Amino acid sequence: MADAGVKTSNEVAAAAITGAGQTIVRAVQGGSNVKLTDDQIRTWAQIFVSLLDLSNASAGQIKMPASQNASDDPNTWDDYEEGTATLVIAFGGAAVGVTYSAQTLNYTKDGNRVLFDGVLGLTSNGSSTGNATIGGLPFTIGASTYVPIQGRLVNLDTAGGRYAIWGTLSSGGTTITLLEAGDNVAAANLTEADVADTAEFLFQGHYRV
Amino acid sequence: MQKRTIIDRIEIEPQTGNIAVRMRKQVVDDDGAVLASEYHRAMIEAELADPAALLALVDGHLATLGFPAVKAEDRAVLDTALATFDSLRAEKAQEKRASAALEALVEAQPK
Repeated sequence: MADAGVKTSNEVAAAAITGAGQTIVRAVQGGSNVKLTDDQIRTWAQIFVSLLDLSNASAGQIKMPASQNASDDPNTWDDYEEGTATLVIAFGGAAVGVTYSAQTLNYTKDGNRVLFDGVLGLTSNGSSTGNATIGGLPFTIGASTYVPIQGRLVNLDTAGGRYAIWGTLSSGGTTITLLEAGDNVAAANLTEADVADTAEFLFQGHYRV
Repeated sequence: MQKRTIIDRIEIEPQTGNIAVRMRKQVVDDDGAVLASEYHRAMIEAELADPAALLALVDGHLATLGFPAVKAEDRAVLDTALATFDSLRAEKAQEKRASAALEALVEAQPK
């Protein structure tokens, strides 16, 4: 015999449908024989049809799966992750003898977007030559984009009247290609000749995966 | 109490040939219970010729963050994955080089 004041899962679903016009409680119950009080049912129904209120001191968090459950629905929030990554610099694709004073990138992945900030500091630029790149973005770039390399730039020697630095992020990669630009002058790749032994780059940006 | 770095996930990306490595920097108590855990990521791009050198850099960076190198058993699993997907990485690296060469040719055309 059913307890007075509690309902089975089917009754919960029926009550939610009747009371709030929503079927989501049925899915939450999953057909298991869980019993809830009428007050609990009313609370649930209110949550799902009105403000999602997480301000209770014991809650206030939304936990996503450790592995993304990807959705094509543009209205579905399907991923969240915070972490760090290791930045590396290369010249012409190599980094012989490079040593670092800082190389940490912090990232937050929110849905299909990665937000990041990084500090790359050198104690030696090594002996490799060629175009400068910063590797170590934590997720493969889905759509090519640009980020300003701004903040504190230390011991860089841009050439030919160029004074601004930006980074190119190319689809399919995880690397920032560094370029220098100025007024009325063509942009050029930053190379080992522009980057001193004790250079520092501080930057932030975002990209789509 | 001790710190450890374990590999949490190895993700193979068939479309790019990249291999993403997600680690966990953990603080564990004497009973092995995890007290704190943070992710750390490294991406081994298809065209990277020497993944071992990159992973050595990552281990060095982890040391500066106060964590030990990746656990040896986990590193062995990663090495196996790298060996298993070596041909995929080579194929995708070749594709990327060809694509980059084509882009450079287009860029070099008079506007």
